[in-house]
This record gives sequence, structure tokens and C-alpha cells, in this order.
Amino acid sequence: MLRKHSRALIIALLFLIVVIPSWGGIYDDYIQLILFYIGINVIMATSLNLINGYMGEFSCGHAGFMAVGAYVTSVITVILFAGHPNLGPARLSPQWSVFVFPIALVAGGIAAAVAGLLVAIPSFRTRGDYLAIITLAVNYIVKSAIENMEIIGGPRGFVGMGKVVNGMQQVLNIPWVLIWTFIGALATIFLIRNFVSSTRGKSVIAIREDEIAAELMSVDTRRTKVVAFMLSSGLAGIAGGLFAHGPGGYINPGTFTILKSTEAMVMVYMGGMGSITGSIMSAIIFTILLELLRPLKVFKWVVIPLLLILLMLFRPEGLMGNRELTDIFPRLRALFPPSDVGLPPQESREVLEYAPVSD
Amino acid sequence: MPLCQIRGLTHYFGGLRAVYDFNLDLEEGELIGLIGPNGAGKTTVFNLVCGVYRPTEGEIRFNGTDIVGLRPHQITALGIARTFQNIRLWGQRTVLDNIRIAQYARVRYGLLDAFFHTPRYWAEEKEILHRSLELLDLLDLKAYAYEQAQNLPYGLQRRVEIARALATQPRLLLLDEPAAGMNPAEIEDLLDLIHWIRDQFHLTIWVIEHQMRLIMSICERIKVLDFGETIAEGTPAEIQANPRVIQAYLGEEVA
Repeated sequence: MLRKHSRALIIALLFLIVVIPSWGGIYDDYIQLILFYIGINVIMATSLNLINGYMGEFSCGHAGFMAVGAYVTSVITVILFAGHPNLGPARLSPQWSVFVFPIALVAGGIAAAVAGLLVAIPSFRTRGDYLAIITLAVNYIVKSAIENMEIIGGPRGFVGMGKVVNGMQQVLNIPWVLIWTFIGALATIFLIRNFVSSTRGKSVIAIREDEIAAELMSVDTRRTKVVAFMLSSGLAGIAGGLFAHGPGGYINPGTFTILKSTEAMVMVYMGGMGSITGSIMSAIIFTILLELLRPLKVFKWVVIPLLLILLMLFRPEGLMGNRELTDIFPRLRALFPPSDVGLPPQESREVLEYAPVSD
Repeated sequence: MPLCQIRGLTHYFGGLRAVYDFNLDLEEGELIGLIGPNGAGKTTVFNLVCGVYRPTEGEIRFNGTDIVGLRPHQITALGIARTFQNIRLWGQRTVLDNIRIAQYARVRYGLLDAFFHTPRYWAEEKEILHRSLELLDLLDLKAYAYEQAQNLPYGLQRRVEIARALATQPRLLLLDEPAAGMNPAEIEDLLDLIHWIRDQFHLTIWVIEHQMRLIMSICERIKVLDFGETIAEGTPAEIQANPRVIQAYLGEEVA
């Protein structure tokens, strides 16, 4: 009963905790901002975990893909609904942005996924440190490319998304971007969890454990890598699109540097490689920690790395290792439908009993 | 027509000639051995057949198709599977997952089915699970289905590796030193297992092995390599009597 409706229940709970209080003014702008960052960070960490955790590659340019998504999404919405000094006046009435915003987000995601090919194709021939350098290069390429595109503001950044968000709020005064952020976070978790529990998606893990054996046991490793990199970077692009429509409605290429990529990596390694619940937990903890330490000003960036060093010393596998919350508390399984038919029978009651087939 | 036909297979690693003019016809259902001193190029031959390396020269036809230049996963999907000299299981996954992932080539559902877990996905995953458990049952491994592969004892890991190769539904099975590191009792079991899987799965089997006891008792035909060249070929009895083989293994008698 509970298990059957768990997805609806989670969504309802999220609305109850996050959206409705924000709408009703119970949460002030500051708390809403933190919730917004948590949502973005959940998307960033979970999507990067597919590459750095499940596939065992070391991608350190995740912010590059976030930038692609952020710019593509905002250019679309601003051209259509806000107008920009370089791009001409608004084409449509701002109210329509309610419908177009999710489409623009997906478009940003697709653009970022295509940019992900920049990493996926070199990964056919190289891995480890060398691929890490390539991902770093891609991050810089994206940032420099944007800085040199005067039409979208170059290094000064891009504005106008505030008007788009206002347009949505004229239709109905609810926290639109926050709602979409949480829908995006849930969709990310859903997609990645489904993918890595399928036989097709488990090939990602086979590549981590032994790539040659994977290829020789019929896994199309190139295809798997393309899918994994495109899915991961596409989701980062959606996170970027949401981020661009946050409070302030302003982005600049300086936001999407290696520092931003490092934040995503920190969340993955803090949560545990190959653990989705770990990434979610560490995204929440990390975001809140950043806010709590704000009074320390610059020393924040002394304390946080120090905490990380301590974490790596005492718990090198991260908070969760490669386990999920349901592995630690098997009772939680009762709440969720199994994602995989191949769990031990006593733990997933729905698994069909094995009986020899007669032919 | 033979199942697998190898003609003039030659491979160089830079200036080193690893395999030279290797020819072999594998008939359906045969059990063939490949032996030779260390470094003779035996594993290289396997790697060439599986597509890990692209041969410098030569032709490999499997079941009528030319497989030179295909990628390893394509060759596996055509029906050639292998085990490894050093066990290469996906150690942190369960035995069951090892078997399931090896069925990748036969997954028919699309990516969207995998992302959204559609009814089609469930139907096929159940089929895969069923097939995997059945295979594990046949090989007496079902009790370990949910164990991490790396936690099994050595002999069982070898067995899981054979099971994983069988999961790809091969017609030709290449076993690279299956008895390496096994004690005599385990080797006895392995002998039975190899015979049994050949009959059960209607396979052609090609074995590299150093354990003469094993190779002499199961192979119908043996090829001997030394420094990349074939120095002898024949039945076990012929090989045992061949002076060039004895010379390659034991060296020349000093006068």
C-alpha cells in the first residue's frame, strides 16, 4: 500500500515541506534561497555521481556543462519574454513563459548533453588522469567561449531572467523556479536510479570494475560511455538553466569555473561514490554548511576544506560508501518499489520465484 | 564448413613478432588445446580472435563472417566468449549481476525503457533474471547468486567466470588457462565441467593450458606454439612423442 504510492507520497511531502510554506510566506527569501541551492546541488551531485561514482572516471569539468545549460536556457527565455540590448525586444508576452520555461530548460539540457560529447569521445581512448585533464579543458573552453561572445554579454554576464520569472509570477504567484528545481531534482534521482539498476545501465559499473572484461563480455563500452556522459552533462545543463533563473536573474561566466566543478565533486566524494542517497544527503549538508559558516567570511574556505580532509582521513569512502540508505536500513525498502528485479528474495517480496523452465 | 577458420594470422608488437602464420580450422563441437612455453604467443592468439588486438596480417572467419576489425563486443555477440588467465570478474558486483551484465548484447529494450522502467523493461529484466538464475543453477552456483564475486574462493571464481562467458550464449568458448592455480581435486572437477558444458551447451571449446594432465586428457587435437610459430599439431599421443615439442619444453640435450 505504502510502497505503491511512495512516489506520490514523496512528492506530496516535498510540496508540504518546501513549496507551500514558501508560497504562503512562512519561509522568508533567505530560506527559499537555501532550498533553491539545495535543489540545484542535488542535481549537480547526483548527475556527476554517474560519471565519478558509478563509471569510475574522474570528470572535473561539470560546471562547464552547467554553464552551457544556463546560457542556452536563459538566451531562449530572454529573447522570447524579456528582451536584451543585443538580442532585440521581447517577442512574446511574459505570461507565456509559464509554458515555455520547462521547454527552455530541456533545450538547455540537450545543448549541454551535446557538449558532453566533447568528453565522451576522448573517453573511448583514454581514461584516468588523462581524461580528467580533458574534462578540465572542456570546462575552460566553455568558460572562455562565453567570455568571448559579446552578443551575450561576454565576461560582464547576461541579464534579463528576472523579468521572465516575474512574468511567470504574474500568471500565478507561486515560487515557480523553486518548484521546477525540485521537480528537476526528483527527475534526476529517478532517471539515474532507474538507469543504474537496469541491465543496460549496469554496464556503466562493469566499465568501472574492468573495462576490458566488459567489452569482451558483449558490453558496447563506447555507447555506454556516450550515454553516461550525455545523461550526466544534460542534467547538469538543466541545473544550470534553473540556476540562471534564480534570485537576481543574472549569470556570468566567472560563476562556472573549476571552483564550481570542485563543489560538485566534493559533494560526490563526501556522499560516497556510487550512492545516490549519499549524494542527496551530502548536497543538503554541504549547502547548509556553506550557509552556517557564512559568518566566518573568507575563513569559510579554510574551515570547509579542513572538514573535508578530516572526513577523508576518518571516512575515506564518504558518508555512505557505495551503499544506499536502503542497504543500511533494509526496512526502508518497504517504502519503495524495488528498482531491480535481482535483489535477494527476502529483501524484495515482489521478486518472482525462480522455477526451472520446461522447454 | 568449419565453425572458425584462421588463416595466416600474424601479429607484431612493434618489432617483436608475437604470432607468425597461425592457421587453424575449428570444427563444430571440437575440443582443441593450444599449448606452448611461456611467452609463446598463446594468449595473443586469443586476443586476436576476440578483437582485443587487430592482427597485422591474416584472416579470421567465424561462422562464415570475416571478424577481423570488428570490436570485441561485436565478436562476442556473434558467439565467441572467453575467460581470462587472471580472473577478471566485476568483483564488487554480485555473481548474479556478473551473469546479467554479460547478457548486455541481448537486451532489446531501449534507453527510454531503462530510464522510465516501462512494462517492457520489467518483462525483459524478469526474463534476464530467470535465464541467469537458471544458468547459475546448472553450474551449481545458485547459492552464491547474491555474494560479491570477489568474496568467493578462487576455484568458484573460475567457475563464475565460465558461467559469465556462457551467459553471452557463445558457440565457441575460449578458456585461457582455466586450471591456473588450482589444486588436483579442483582440476578433476574442472575436467568434468569442461566435458559437461560442451555437451550441455553444444559448444566448441578451445583451451590454453599448462597443466599437461588436463590438456592431454580432454583435448582431441592439440597445437603447439613456440616463439609465435606452430611447431607441432596432432593428437595428444602424437604431441607427447614429438621431439620438437620436447625440445621446446625441456631444451636440447647437451652432448
